[in-house]
Amino acid sequence: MPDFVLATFLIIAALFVLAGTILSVIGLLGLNWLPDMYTRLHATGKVGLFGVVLLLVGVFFFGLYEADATMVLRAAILFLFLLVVGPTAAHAISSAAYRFGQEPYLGPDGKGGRDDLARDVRQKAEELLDEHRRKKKKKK
Amino acid sequence: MATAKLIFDVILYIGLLTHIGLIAVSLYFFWRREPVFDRLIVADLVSTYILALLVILAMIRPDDPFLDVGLGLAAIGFIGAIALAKYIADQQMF
Repeated sequence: MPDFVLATFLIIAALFVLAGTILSVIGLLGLNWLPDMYTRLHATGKVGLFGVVLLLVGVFFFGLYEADATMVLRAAILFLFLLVVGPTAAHAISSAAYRFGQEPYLGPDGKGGRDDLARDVRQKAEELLDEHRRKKKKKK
Repeated sequence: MATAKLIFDVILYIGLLTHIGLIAVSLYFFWRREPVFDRLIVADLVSTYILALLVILAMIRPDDPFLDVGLGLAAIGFIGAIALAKYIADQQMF
C-alpha cells in the first residue's frame, strides 16, 4: 500500500485513541459530579464503555496499518461483545438498585422529575390485587 | 510516515498514562464512596478502564496477545457485575 494511505490510517487511529481517552475522563468527571446513583451509572456506563469502543475502532485502523487480519478481527469481536454486554450490565445494576430501594434524585426541592417505574409497579400491583379479589368472590 | 508514527506513539503513551491515572482516582473513589451501589458502579468502571489499558497496550506491543486477555476480562467483569448486583439486591446468588 502507498505510504500516504498508511499514514492516514495511523492518524485516524490516533484521533480515535484521543477521543476514547477524553471520553474516559468525562466518565470519571460524571461519576464525581452527578447527584444520585442512577445518573452516575448513566455517566459511567455510557461514557466509560464508549471510551473503550472508540479505542477499539483505533485498534481496527491500527490493524489495517499493520496489515494484521487477526488484530482487526479480534478488535471487531471485542467491539460487538462490549456493545452487547455494557448496557446489559448497567441495566442489571440499576434494576437491582431500584429493588434494593435506592431513591432517585428528584431535583433540589424533591418535586422535579417523575418516577415512572413506581407508577408502573403500583398499577401492576393493583391489577394483581383486583384479580385476587375476583377469585376470592368466585370461591364464596 | 515517520512523523505519523511518532504522533501516534506520543498519543498512545498519553492515553496510557491518562488511563493509569484514571484507575488510581477511581480506586480512591472505591475506597471513599459510602453507598454500596456506588462502589459497585466504581468496580464496574475500574474493570472498563483496565480493559482500555489492555487495548492501548495491544497497540503499543502488537505481537503480544493483550486483546485476548481483554476479551476474557470483559466476560469476567460482566458476569461479576451482574452476580454482585443480584446478590446485593436479593441477598442470594441464584
